[in-house]
Amino acid sequence: MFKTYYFLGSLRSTAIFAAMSIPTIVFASLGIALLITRRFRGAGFLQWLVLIPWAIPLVVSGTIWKWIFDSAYGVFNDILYRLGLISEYVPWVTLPIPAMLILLLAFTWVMLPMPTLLFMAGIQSIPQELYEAAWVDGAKAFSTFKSITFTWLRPIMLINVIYTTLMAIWSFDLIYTITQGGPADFTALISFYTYHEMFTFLDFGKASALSIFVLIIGIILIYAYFKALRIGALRLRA
Amino acid sequence: MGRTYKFATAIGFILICVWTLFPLIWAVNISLQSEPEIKTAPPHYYPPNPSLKNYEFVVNAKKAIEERLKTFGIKGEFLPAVTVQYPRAIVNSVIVGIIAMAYNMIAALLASYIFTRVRFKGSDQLFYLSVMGRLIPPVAIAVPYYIILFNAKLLDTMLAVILVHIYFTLPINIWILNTYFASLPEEVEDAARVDGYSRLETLFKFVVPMIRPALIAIGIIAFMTSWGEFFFTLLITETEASRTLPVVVGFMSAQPLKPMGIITAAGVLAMIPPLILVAIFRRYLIRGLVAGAVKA
Repeated sequence: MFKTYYFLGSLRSTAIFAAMSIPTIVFASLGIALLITRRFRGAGFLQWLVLIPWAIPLVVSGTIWKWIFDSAYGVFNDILYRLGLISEYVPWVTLPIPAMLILLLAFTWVMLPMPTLLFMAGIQSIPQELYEAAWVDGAKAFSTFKSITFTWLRPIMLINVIYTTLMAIWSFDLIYTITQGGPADFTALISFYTYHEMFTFLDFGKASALSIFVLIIGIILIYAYFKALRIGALRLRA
Repeated sequence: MGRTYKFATAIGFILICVWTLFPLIWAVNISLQSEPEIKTAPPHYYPPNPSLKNYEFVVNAKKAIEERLKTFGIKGEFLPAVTVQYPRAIVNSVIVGIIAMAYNMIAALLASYIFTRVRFKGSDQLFYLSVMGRLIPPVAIAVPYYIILFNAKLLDTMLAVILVHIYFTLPINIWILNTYFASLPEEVEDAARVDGYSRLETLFKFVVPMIRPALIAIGIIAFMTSWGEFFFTLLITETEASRTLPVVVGFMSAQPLKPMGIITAAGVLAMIPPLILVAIFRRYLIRGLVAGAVKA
């Protein structure tokens, strides 16, 4: 398994994909949650709106994103063309780096709701007395955020990071609908590769070995997150 | 909090709206056009002849296909016949989703409460075990799961779909709820226990109001995960009796010529039930009575 050409390639693609998508999703969702839990007109609408991408079947959202970047009828090409940035339509999905970016864009779009929802619920459960106390003590906005909001949200942050990681190293549906692993296997992430070994080549042994490998990677990453966020155990008890 | 603050909020508002809505508006735009209109360059930014034909087809495919056979014979445009199963699939998905959601909310609440409040031998190990189950890549357990359901004669039943969806959502929901439980002050519960309330009474009278936002959040997570789950449901269902929405829509799009109008119409209609659910639940998500409950 380790010797095959595809394995290393898919490992590299997965690493690129994960390294780009996980921070984007976690920080964007934190930012969105912080914004939409404030009191302003329209906040309620936004709290509802941000969950919408979740409600569409992945097959459909993948198809829509693919269509937006379509080489013949896509709106992205048309906008660039009208702005004069390109002289003719470009088949984005067949170019390695654009294909990866489209995948990232679609993945971020469909993945944002869940971390946002969890951060929202987490922010709601921060006792307001803490902020009042900080305000009385004359704390600056940034140090209030760091010592209260961020500390309080750390366990939720951990869940979000882990969940996003798992989804990133397992993501399959979107790759299948948008790029089919191409071009030249550049977006064939490890899950896609495993799926092919199992259901196309019917090599169950290799597929099992691959999934155990993914499981081990997952466990190593999770252990690293615990260390990075300085949470010793899973904190079952207060 | 002056003008810059308001300005920043407005910018954020617009950014979130554009980011979330653009693909959706584009989907609605496509779903209102006919297939030849969709496949033109440059694309239409609004439907030139808006029609609900795609929606009519999705809702009642059988009638639409018969009508078209009458007018065009078999030479008409290509239509995915599996769309006939679409209305039933929405009903199935709603039933499965609601049951998975209710089960998750009750089971995760009880489990987290015990995990975080009662010390018993092996509680940590039990918890790690439940989370570990979720860390195995889905592809790896697909075949074992199929064999188990086959032997239990549960293949192609809604019960099997519900069981699989609960398996997918419960561990992570217990974990999420644990972190919220861990952040609650235990004094309230201790006081209630001293006042003579039983554990269950304490849980439902005092603890549930405090963790309501988290409870609602895991309910939504359970429903949405179930609503979107494709791979396992595809594997364990065979007929329209148990197929859920993502599977049927998946079949609709796995056609040689992707019927874009019909797929997007199916996607737009599929958004309605979860969005109603979120609209109902959203106000309970906001500001659980954390401060108030501690006083009570």
